[in-house]
Amino acid sequence: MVIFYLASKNYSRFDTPMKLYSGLFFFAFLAEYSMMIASFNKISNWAIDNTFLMMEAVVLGRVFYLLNDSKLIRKVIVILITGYFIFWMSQYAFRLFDWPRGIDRSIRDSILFPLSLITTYTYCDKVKGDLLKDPWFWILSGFILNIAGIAFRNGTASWFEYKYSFFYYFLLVTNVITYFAFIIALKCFPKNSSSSGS
Amino acid sequence: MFSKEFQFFWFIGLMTIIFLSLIIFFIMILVKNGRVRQQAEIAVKDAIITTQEDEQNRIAEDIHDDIGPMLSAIKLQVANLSELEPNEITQSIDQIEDHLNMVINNVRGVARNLSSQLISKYGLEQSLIENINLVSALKKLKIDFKYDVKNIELNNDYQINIYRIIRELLTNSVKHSNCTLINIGIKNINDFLIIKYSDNGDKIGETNGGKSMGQTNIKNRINLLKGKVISFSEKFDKGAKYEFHFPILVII
Repeated sequence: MVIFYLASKNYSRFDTPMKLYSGLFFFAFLAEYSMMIASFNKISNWAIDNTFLMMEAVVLGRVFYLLNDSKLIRKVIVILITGYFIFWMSQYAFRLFDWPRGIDRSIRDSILFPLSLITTYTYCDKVKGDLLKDPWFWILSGFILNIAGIAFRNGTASWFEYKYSFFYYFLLVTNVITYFAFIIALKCFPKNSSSSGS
Repeated sequence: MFSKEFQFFWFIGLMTIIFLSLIIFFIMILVKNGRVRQQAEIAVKDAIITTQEDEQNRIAEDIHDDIGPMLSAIKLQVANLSELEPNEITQSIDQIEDHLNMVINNVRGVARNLSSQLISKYGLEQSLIENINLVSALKKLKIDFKYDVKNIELNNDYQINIYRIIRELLTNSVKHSNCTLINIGIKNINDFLIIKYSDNGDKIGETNGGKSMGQTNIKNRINLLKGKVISFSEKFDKGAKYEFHFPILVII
């Protein structure tokens, strides 16, 4: 956590996305593992889970917005994220808690997964240097893997008669892979933004 | 509900499909990046070759336009020495000496322009100051130079390219513009090196149909440094105005 925070401080080329990403990473790390522990202890709360997922989606949407240059994609991101936010709010406003579990998560995943693919593709299209040495390639790949993993878990959790904890193990593995991608990204960061040269 | 085996089959199947799709997606991106990098490398090589050729042409032009006529004049003066009266010979020798000094200065100028050792030895700021002093002394111009680059250390290739850009702009102003005042500013803001250049000339647009000499050379160097052109005077009546932003974290 501290390392990522320091990386965000030293990395100013994509200042705002990096700060947002670090905040998200910090928040996600605490929130996801807190929820996992809460679930194991059978004290998990559906509303808190969904609130976290919504907040994560909004921050991710903002990161994707900043990394996309296309005005059309930016508008689509704003519309989709606002739509998802309104849907999330409506659950509380109109007391729609009886809705089948997973609908809002499916909406979230079906918005974020294509957005992460589009953002990664458009970003990588712009990179003229070695992609494997670009930190944002690894960060976006981590996002894709994480969103795909969460979407897969959310999508299959209601279909398969496995124990609920199994899906938390699945989430744990997904997160470990994601963090592995983020650690590679960290290694690709320039050491100090004030240094120069080739 | 479906049997456990059936569910397991679909679970593994779906996961495999998603995993394979993602692998194909990443391979596609990496292959495309490989092609883009190849094209970029070719473009940079082309830019280097074009820049070198422009440089050679410019040196040839300097020698042909400045040194050549002076040497011809000296040759004529030396040839006429035998026909002169004894009291005129001393005066003529003085003129020959003056012309020879000018040739020596010009040769030094060309050598200084050619040499990148000057930059590695004295740094960008000092090299530019020397060049500016030389130009302002020779052409009787007022050149206002501000250098405010702090807390960064530019590498040699980077400095050479910046030096050549400024020098090319100076050459354009001196040779093809009728300017009397030139303003040059170099500073760094965050991770960008900002160059601002302007003069009060009025002839480039008229004499060269909007395309001054060395502008291609400047653009090649800007591309090489992955710089951004904020303003670039292609055609103008009241002076030139250029502004370039260069990322300092650049791989040459």
